[in-house]
Amino acid sequence: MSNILKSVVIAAASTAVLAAPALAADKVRVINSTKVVFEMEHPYSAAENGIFKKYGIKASVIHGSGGAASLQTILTGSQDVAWGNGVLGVVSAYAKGAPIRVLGSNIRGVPDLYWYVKNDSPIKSFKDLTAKHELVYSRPGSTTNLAAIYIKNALGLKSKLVSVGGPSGSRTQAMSGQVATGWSVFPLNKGLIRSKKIRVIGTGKQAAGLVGVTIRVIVANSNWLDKNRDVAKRFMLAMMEGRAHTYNSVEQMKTYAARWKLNFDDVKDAGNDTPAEVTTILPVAGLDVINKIALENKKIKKLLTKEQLHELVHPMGYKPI
Amino acid sequence: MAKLHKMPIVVGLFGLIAAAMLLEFSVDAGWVMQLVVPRPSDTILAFPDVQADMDLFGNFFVTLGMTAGATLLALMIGVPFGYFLWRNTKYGVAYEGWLAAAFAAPTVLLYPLFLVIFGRSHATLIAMGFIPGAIPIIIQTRQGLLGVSRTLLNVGRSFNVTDRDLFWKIQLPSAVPTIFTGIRIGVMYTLVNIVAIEYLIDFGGLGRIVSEMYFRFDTPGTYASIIAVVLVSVFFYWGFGRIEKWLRPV
Repeated sequence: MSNILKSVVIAAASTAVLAAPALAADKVRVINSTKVVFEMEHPYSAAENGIFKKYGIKASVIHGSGGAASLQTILTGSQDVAWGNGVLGVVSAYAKGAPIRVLGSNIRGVPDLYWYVKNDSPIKSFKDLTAKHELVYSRPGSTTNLAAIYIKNALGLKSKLVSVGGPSGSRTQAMSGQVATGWSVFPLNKGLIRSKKIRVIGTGKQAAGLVGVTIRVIVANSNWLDKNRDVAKRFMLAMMEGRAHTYNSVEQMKTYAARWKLNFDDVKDAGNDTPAEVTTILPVAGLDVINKIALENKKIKKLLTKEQLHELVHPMGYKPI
Repeated sequence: MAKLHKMPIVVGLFGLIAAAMLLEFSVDAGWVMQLVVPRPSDTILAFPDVQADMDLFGNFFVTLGMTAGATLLALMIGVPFGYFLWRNTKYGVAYEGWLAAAFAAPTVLLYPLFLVIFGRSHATLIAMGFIPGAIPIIIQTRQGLLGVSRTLLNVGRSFNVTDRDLFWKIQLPSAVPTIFTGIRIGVMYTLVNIVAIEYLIDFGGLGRIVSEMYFRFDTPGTYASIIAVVLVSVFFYWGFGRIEKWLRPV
């Protein structure tokens, strides 16, 4: 009888231990800094495939309307983690005392950005852009602005840099002939490429100075991080797995296409447009370069010190050593 | 207390200063996050920096000019159209509902269309400012003329004045307060639309500075440029108040 009782107690205890993470899953409020962009799929991937649950996390995933607005939710503590924020904005906010810390890299370089022209344009590549042509970007100090500057410098272009707003505003202005080029991010507007309405003239891979430099980051509220260090570590592990799942699962790509009402043909090559090797969560690279760019673009008033840069990055949720 | 009622500007300023001091204290005490709302003193100190960096003063006049241009256009079209709708009752009845619906619509969202039509230029700003400005002027002009007291009209007719004199000497002066209500509403919506478009397309005056400062997380700079927008609004509110008094001194 005592053996039976022991077995029952052990079974009950085991069940309780196994069930504990599910019952007491730690909540994490995640905000994707924008929507549709391929890397923003990873939190959904982790949430919808039981990966967060496996790590004892219950994550809510919403999306913001761009870097600054999304980062505001982190520094005010209304969300815990922002996924895919532009690093310039993060450095800028941190320099002004915002309680934020970088947990990892979202992408290094800007291979997923591309520039296009109307299909009937005589421009074939970046090198055909002359002083009378506009090389466009979203807004001053943005990732696209950086990429455009670096592309212009790398290729010695004479073209004017013109701010045109987001991909949809850019498309309107490019298609109506107000500006010579448009910018977008894969897989957005791929349907127009497929239907030969627009033609790609180059990508962010040509921004040589940004290759290997972390451009978008995963950022957490530092107060939340200090109180939930273990949760943050588990969250990051789950995100690593979620990211791997996105890259390796055709089903997830179909879900991604369905989520944003994209054509599956346009997203199935997302892994090529945004190569996995540049989206690994570690390393967070080239912050010294970003520091200088931030100063040049008036995002900060003086360079962050080595100590500040060191304090800023908590890789995978771990305190910097 | 009775004396205070005679000094509305002083009372208003006193309230403003009290609110600013309360905010200053709240930020210092940590009740309000400084990164979201700066100390009023920091906002004031940010003006020279924003001026040096982004020419706040010059851009103040850009936004002021765009708003003035759009408002002038709205007046030139809105008042005659309102008069037309008053004179032609059928049209007035037919279009009033449509105008009210158009006024309630967020026309600012149409900016991509205007970018295609007018390009990335000041013309887009003026056109986008004109629409929300003209509609209340049209509606209020018609309402103002409809609302002229019958007694006043009868008095005029008893003096055998011509229709022309009746309009210029009785109907229009009587409708002025209502028309100016429309103008004040219109100019505020015009300003809001123009600043919003400046912010969205990163072009033009103060809206572009607000956007730039916001994206730099320069909160005092953001608020300093917002105050400049408020000053544009105050200028128009004050200016149209003066014109109204001039047109209808009693």
